[in-house]
Amino acid sequence: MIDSIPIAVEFTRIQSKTHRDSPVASGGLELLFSNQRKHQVALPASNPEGTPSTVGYLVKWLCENLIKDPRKEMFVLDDSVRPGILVLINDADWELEGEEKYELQANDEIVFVSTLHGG
Amino acid sequence: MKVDSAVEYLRSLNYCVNYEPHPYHLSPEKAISFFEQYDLVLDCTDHPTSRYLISDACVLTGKPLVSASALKTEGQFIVLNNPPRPPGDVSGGPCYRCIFPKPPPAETVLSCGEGGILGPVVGVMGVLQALEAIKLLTAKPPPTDLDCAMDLTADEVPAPVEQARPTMLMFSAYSSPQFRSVRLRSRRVACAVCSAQATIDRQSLTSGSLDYVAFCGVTTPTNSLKPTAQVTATEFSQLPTDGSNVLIDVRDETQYAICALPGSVNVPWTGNADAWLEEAIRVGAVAELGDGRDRYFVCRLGHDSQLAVKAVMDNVLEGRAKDIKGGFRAWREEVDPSWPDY
Repeated sequence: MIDSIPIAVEFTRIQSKTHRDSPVASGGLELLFSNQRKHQVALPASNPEGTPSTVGYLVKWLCENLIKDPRKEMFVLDDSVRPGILVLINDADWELEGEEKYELQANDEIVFVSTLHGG
Repeated sequence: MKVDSAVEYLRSLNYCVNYEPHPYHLSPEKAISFFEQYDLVLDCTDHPTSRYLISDACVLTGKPLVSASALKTEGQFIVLNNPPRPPGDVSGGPCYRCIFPKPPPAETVLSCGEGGILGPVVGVMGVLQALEAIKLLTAKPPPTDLDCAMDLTADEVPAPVEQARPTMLMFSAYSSPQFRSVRLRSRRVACAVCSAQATIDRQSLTSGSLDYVAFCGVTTPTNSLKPTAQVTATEFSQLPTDGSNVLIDVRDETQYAICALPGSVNVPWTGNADAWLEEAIRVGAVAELGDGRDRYFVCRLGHDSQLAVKAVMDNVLEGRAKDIKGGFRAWREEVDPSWPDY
């Protein structure tokens, strides 16, 4: 019985206007995650309801276990990843893989990409 | 105007190209008739408002869109609406709304002006756009059976025509590898502009009924303090410099290194009030129990300093915290014209 699955989680430097005054703002999503871009997490293989862990559960789990900052709304809005963040499952848009319902496999790579708008 | 500088520079690089400046802001009303004159569009703008408008207009006029964005040391590159089939045709390439149906909250959007940008990063993204534009403009139409029969010699097998797969190329100067290509979804079944259920049509744009600014949201200036908790830059400049007050500068380290007032203490605002206050107490900038001295707070424009004042007033026994209204911009305008304008 496997009780946890290894998952690689990465955050591209997600920018936000946490400092509206600074042209060299450093407040990114990785700040919420101990200022670290890449994380190896051991995710419980099933959620509390006993069904296999999905990406939706991973997002919830990250909020509860990995975010060290009260500003969770920079990552999640209305129980889903906030608009402007693209979720990649093994280098594919998660919408190709079933979005939140995708069941995670060992060594899957999940990347949260911030949309850039600058030009 | 920027557009004139661009034309002048490009003409010096290659005078054989016909450059047409359009010296006005792209509006929904003008976008359709404007895009119709061209074969393809490159989005080099810097805000979600223009990115949604350009994508919508490309779908409605049937033009492929080569889109790139960049910030700091990173860039993103996508070819949208390629092939540019009419709305409702699922074999067309996805549009910006298929990939990003909802705009990000306005307060999370960081422009190059605020976030900074490294020149060569924009250069990389621009060159990728130029290459894709050449490929699209010179692409042969898919071969017909007759073409194949004519070209085919005994041993040659015609290469299958590769269907363009929607991808996003991400560039990150400091990552290894620097480039990463990710697969994107195809057209969204319920897309507001390119699907059979589209709610946005040419009329929505030409009539001006679609408000892209409202769609993307706007940030409102911080104005969270009572007037008694603020002083003007002039008033601050008249205070004694005998140590009876402390100036706390909440800009980040880089800005503080560019210019700072003598005797000020730098405690950069990070957005997290609790963490900031802890740091301010740790470095001795703020006294947890009060020491009788007034604290003044300053930043570049006067937003973050208000948040810092609020953090102090909400949490520390000592309530004598005041914000310098308008920050260093006001300082430059009212007190010291030689202060760097950055």
